[in-house]
Formats: sequence, structure tokens, C-alpha cells
Amino acid sequence: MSTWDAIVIGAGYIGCSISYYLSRAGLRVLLLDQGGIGVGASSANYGNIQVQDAELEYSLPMVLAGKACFNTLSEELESDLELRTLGCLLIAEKESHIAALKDRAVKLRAAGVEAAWLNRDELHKVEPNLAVEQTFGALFNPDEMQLNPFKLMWAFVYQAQKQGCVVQTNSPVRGFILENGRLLGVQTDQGQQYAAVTILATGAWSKQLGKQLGIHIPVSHVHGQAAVIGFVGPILRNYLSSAAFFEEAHSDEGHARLSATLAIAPTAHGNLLLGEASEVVDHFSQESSPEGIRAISQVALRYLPALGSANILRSWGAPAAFTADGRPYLGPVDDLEGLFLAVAFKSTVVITPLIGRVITQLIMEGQTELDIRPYLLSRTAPPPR
Amino acid sequence: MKRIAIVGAGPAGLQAAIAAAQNGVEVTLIDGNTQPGGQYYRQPPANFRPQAPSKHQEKAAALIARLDHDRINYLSQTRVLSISADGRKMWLHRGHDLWEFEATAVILATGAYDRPAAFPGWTLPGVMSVGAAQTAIKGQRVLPGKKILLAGTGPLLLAAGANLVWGGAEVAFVLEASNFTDHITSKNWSALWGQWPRLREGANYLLALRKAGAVYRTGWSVIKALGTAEEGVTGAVIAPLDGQWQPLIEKAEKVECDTICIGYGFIPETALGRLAGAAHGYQNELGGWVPQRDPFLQTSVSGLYAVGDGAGIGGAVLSELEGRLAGTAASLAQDGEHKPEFKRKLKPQIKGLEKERKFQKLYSQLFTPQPGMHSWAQEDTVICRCENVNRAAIESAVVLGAQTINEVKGLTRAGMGSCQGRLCSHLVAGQIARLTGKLHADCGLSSIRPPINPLALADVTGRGPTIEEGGES
Repeated sequence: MSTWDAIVIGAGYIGCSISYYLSRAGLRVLLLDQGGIGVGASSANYGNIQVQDAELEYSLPMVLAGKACFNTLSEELESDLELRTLGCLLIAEKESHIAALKDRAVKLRAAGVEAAWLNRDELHKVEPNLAVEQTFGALFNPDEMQLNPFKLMWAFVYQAQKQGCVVQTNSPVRGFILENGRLLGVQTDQGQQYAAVTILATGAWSKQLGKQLGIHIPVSHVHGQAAVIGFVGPILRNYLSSAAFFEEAHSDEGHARLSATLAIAPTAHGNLLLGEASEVVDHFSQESSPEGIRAISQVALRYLPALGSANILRSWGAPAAFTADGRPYLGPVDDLEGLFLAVAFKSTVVITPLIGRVITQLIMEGQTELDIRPYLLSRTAPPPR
Repeated sequence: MKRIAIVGAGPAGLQAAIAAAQNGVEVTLIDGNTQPGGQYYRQPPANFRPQAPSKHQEKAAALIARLDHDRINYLSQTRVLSISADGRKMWLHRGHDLWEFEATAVILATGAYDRPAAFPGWTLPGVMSVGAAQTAIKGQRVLPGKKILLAGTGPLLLAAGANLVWGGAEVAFVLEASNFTDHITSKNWSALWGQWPRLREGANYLLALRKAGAVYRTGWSVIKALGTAEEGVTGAVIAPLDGQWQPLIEKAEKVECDTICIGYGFIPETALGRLAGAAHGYQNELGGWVPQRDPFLQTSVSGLYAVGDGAGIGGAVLSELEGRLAGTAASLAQDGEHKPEFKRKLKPQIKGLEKERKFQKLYSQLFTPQPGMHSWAQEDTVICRCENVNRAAIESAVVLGAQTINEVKGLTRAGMGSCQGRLCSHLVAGQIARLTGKLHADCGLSSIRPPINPLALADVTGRGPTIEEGGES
């Protein structure tokens, strides 16, 4: 039996960040993961710090506050995160996307994001290798970023450990210790671990853990597949993303069958990340499939036909969490004292440091720089009995 | 209908296919090369073949001829790029086709590849593996160079050296890193008893090399390749090694050559077994990480068998014995179970393996790479050549706290390139071990993702052959 100030479950982006900020505030923190550091959806991620694809009403403020944190993060963590500027092109794949993107541009600029509409000719100048005839133009924000996901998570964990945080990997939660509507700790293979607060940073796995806690956390997930191709050099300058996804947000119906969406990012090392094939599933897997590869390859070759001879080096799958209203669950939970949620974020990288700070403020001071009311679990109705 | 898929048409895979077909099951033999035989029985193209084939070539031809069987469907130039966690469903790739193929049992006979050493200059043009030189000679009748230095450990050095001499090259040096005669003791010499054909073969190679003027030294290795990226190799620095393979620098010599062939034993090719989730263990004497197997050569995944060098380095003779045993056992198994009567039937075969394994154990004792080889790399020496990661970068990752191959990979990109760590995993583990004092076995395995070999983006349009053409069942 051990006693901690806080237990963080899940060593992905969010859990690593929370562990760092909590331990920096002087708390004795235990970080648990069923696998290793960033082995779930976090390592399957491109490391993009995205802004202009954020949901405008509730997510954009969070995203902008999150992005600001990166100005000083490398220095603070004393680590080269391989942070670099990488513009984003939201590609209009249908004529109907034009109006939606132009409307989005107006709202983004009002929030201070210099997103610009590019017609095909302008798009060609920005991306000479892109088959612009396959597009209806694009919304361009040159001021987005990319980093190395592993470097970010490891830097958080390294610094957290220096601040006294204890990390236990390959350590699944076997059960929760509950008493009179209070969460007292967790059961692991190392024994009972008690803490004043426990934070779930468990992404797609949150629903399952919620069941063990006796609460309903309505997080679903798609099984996403992506691939990386070998060194191709500067064939692409910006991150290409489909404009389709925010008008056709993840829904159980929309992704019931495997389909691929445009999501291609160059890396700092001259590779390209290709995605994303996805389908709604109820199992957890890291597998990719020939059909997934085929779908990804078709999308990539449609927009970048010169890639035909480029080699796929690896492919992977990962569960990506989502919620019905597209908002994460962040903050305390009614009727279960001692539990905090930080799960189901979209564009996770950009808000990673912010969420660590916000959770720490919540626990230490009870109030935060971010209005968390739109993200509370209590916004969703309890499930029908 | 029971269908057994066999991956690899080398000595082990060929024997497995023939045995399974004889036992009445449908066999699909899958191999990436244009011709069956693997590395050991590698055949030159038909129009290259000599008019008077050697005994070895005759033996190969006779074995390959037995593939002509009603129940054997041989898929050449077809790569297996992934396997599912139950070990039954595979991704097959040929030409522009990528498709899923399901079998009732799978026998992995995937062979092995040369273990490299990292030393200054090892990435210069003109430095290659001994296996690559063998492929050039056996498969295409091409000499890799004119004045050749071979360095490494194990009898293959002598075989490759003799082949080069017979092909017309000047072999300047053959450097055997192990002082292997020192390791023959009163305890293990009896394993040599009865191995006369092998000893004779080795003596013939050595004689051919001596006659041709090659210098053969034991306890020596190459520790630096000289030359430039433009000119390629122009020479080498060679040095005697101590028992741990630390070079004795003060006795180093500079020699001239235009080609350096290196091979420090073999590493089993285990990518598919690992993807299927079969349990693997680290066994130095078998070449490193190998699948755990039952007496019938079945892995921890029911219905998934592993045979030959891909399951532990043992050479061609042992591979053929293992192939026959697994081919028979997989055919007789019912729902993944081996019934007692089959066990009795297979007992002689299992016994046959034991003598061969005893010799194999001695062989590995004589030619086991020692940790000192990881001191040959200097700070700026490349360790992962796919991603150009040097020793200093790996050291930084270890200082940050990385303790395993995968953690170093995440931080440095070592192992993220085309070979998915096949070449560098052992070198990275060597560096982690050198810096932390950990054992290789505790440095973990590099995670592997499909496709296990690079796959061109344009080559996935087709969904594979139809059932009539021998495709998906």
C-alpha cells in the first residue's frame, strides 16, 4: 500500500503533461499506464499543433490558449521537442466546402487567426506538387506547428520524475477503491495505491474505466489507421487535411464502414505521414489492414500523384476517442469526489500543456484560467436505465 | 479443407512443404524470390547455369523438383508483409496486388540475415555483408570486388572466401574474430565427433584460400574501413582482439583492399512471429531473439510453427530436419492439438534433431560475438544507417533515461527506417548494454509494424489472385 497526493492514469500526451504540472506544484504524483509512455493513440499521432480546424464555439479558445503555451515550453522542459512551424491547408474536397471554409476564415480572423482562402491557382503556388485540380481551393493558416510526440511526452515524464513523480508502466488499473461516493485510490499489480485525487487521462479507454467506477463516461472511438513513407524530401510544405471532417463530424453512422480521409503531413525528417482510414469499432487494436492501406494509398495518390514509387515503411492503427458533441470531458465529476477527467480531446497536441496546467489549477486552487463548464461530464444526460 | 501456408522456400520451407503435401494437406508455399531454394540453395537464372552443375546444385535441383506436387501451390515473388495476432491471416503482396490470405496453420521458415558490426567507415560503398557477397556470386555470378577482405565470425567466412577465390577474386584477408580453437575443451570436443564431412568441407575451403595466397587469422577483425564516399573502400585498419573482442590498438595494421565483407554470425528473421504475438526469448547461442517452441516446433500461438534459421541459427541440415518435422506435425495436428499417437510417430524425427543441435551448440560456443565489438564504433559512427543515427545520439537518449531499444528508437529514430531495426537493433542494444551494464536480453525488442518490408504506394491497387488462380481460400 502506498499513499500519494495524486494518481494520474494514462501516460499519453495528457497524462504526461498533468503529471509534470502537478509534480511541479509540489504534489507527490504516481503516473500509471497499462502499457508504456505514449504507446496508445498518442504515439500514433502526427504531432501537429493544429488551430484552424478547431470547433469554433467551444474548442477554439482552448486551442488558442494551448498554442500560446508552446512559446516557452522547450525552454521550460529543457528539451529539444523538434518544434517547428508547419502550415496547415484545409482542402475543399467538394464545392460545398468553399462557402463553409470562407465562413470559417471570417470567424478565425475575428479570433486573431490569420487564415486565408486560397483558390486553385494560389494553392498551386503554395503547394506545387499538389494535384490542385482535385480540389476546390483551401483554407491556409501558415502559423501552425509540429513537434516530435515522443520528445514531448518523454520530456514531460523526465522532468516530472526529477520533481519526484513516480512512473509505473505496464501497470493496468485492476480496480478502484471507493467509499461513500469518494474515490480513495486504485488497485494495481503493485498493490493498493491511495491518493487524494485521481485523474483519468485514458482517452478511448475511459468508458471501460468509467464502468469500473460506476459512472457513465460516454466516450466512443474510431479505429484510425495511418502509415509513414520513407524519405521523399520537400515534396510537401504544409499539412494537408480534408475540410470534410468538421462538417461530417465523427458519428457512429458516418464511420461505420472503413473510409479514408485526407490527412498528410510532412515530417521534419523528410518523411510523409499518410492517413487516415477510420471506422467505428468497439474493440481496441493497433492493427492496420490491406483495405486500410489501400484506402490511404488511394487518397494520397489522388492529391500527390508523384508518390507512386514512394515506399510505405510502417502502418499502424490506434483508437481515437470522440464524444457525441465533439467536446472533451475535463474537470471534476458530480457524485464522485476525488475524481477528475481529462479525456477525449480533439487536436490533443495543441492543448497538452494547457490541460496539465488547468488540472493543476483545479486541484490546487479550485479555479482555472479556462472556463471548464462546457466540458464537464454533467453536461451530458445520464444514460437511460 | 486444411491448408497450411509456409513462408519461405529455403531448406526448411521446402522440406516442410514436401512433408505436409505427403501427409495429405493442401500447401501454399510463399516465397519472395524468383526461384525457390533460399540463400543456401540459391540458383542462378536458368541461362546462367553451368553445363556441369556442382554436387550442391544437383542436390538443390532434386529437392526443388519435389515441389511439383498436386497439393503444393508455390507462390513465387510473393512477400508476406503482415500476420494477424492469431497467426492465421497474412498480408500477401505480389506485383500490384495486396491481399489477405488465410490458412489453418502457418509454418514460418523465414531464415536469417548477417549480423553487422558498426565501426568507422562501415557505411562506405564497398563494405557489404558476407551474405550479400554470397548472393552476388551464387545468384548472379558477379564478383563484389577485386581485392577483398572478409571479417567476422563463423565458417561461412571460409565458404564465402573460397567462393570468391574460385570466382576469380583476390582475397587478401580472412579475419576470424574468434580465437575459436581456444574454446574447444575436453567438455565439448566430442560434439565434433562424426562431423567429418563438415570438417572436410572447412578444410577444403581453407586450403583453397591458402593456395590463393589469402592471409587467414583468428582473433583479428577489421576496426576501420578506409576510403571516401566517392571512391569507396581503399583499405582497412585491422587489429587483434582480446577475449572480449576489445581491439589491441597498438598492434593494428593498415592494409589495402577495395571491398570489405562482414558477417558476425546471423540474426534470425523473426518479424512475422513477433507480429503474431508469439512469445520470444533471448538466446545468445541461437542468434538472439527466437520464438519459444514446443517439441513439434509450434510457437506459443496455436497453429503457428517456426523452423530453420528463422527460429534459431542452426544451419541448413538442421533446418531441413526441422522443416520436415513441422510439416508433418502441422498436417497431423487436429484443432491445434498433437495427439499422443502422432507424438509416437514423430519421436524418431525429434530424436534426429538432437544430435544436430548438439553440434550446433558447440558451433555457437566457438563463434559467439563478444560485447567488445560494440566499442569499435566511435562517437560519430553511424549505428542506424536507415535514419543516420550515430553513437553520440544513442548515448544522449540513454542519458535521458531510455533503457530499451524501443525507447531509444522513439527518441533518436534509430530503427524507424526501411529495415525496421533488423540491422541496428543488435547494435543499439550493444550500446545500451555498454553504457548501462544491462544484458542484451534486457534491452527488449524493437516493435515491428506492417508492412514488415517496404511497400510502394502504387503497388497496392489489386486485391490479389482469384480462388481459381490459387488465391484466397
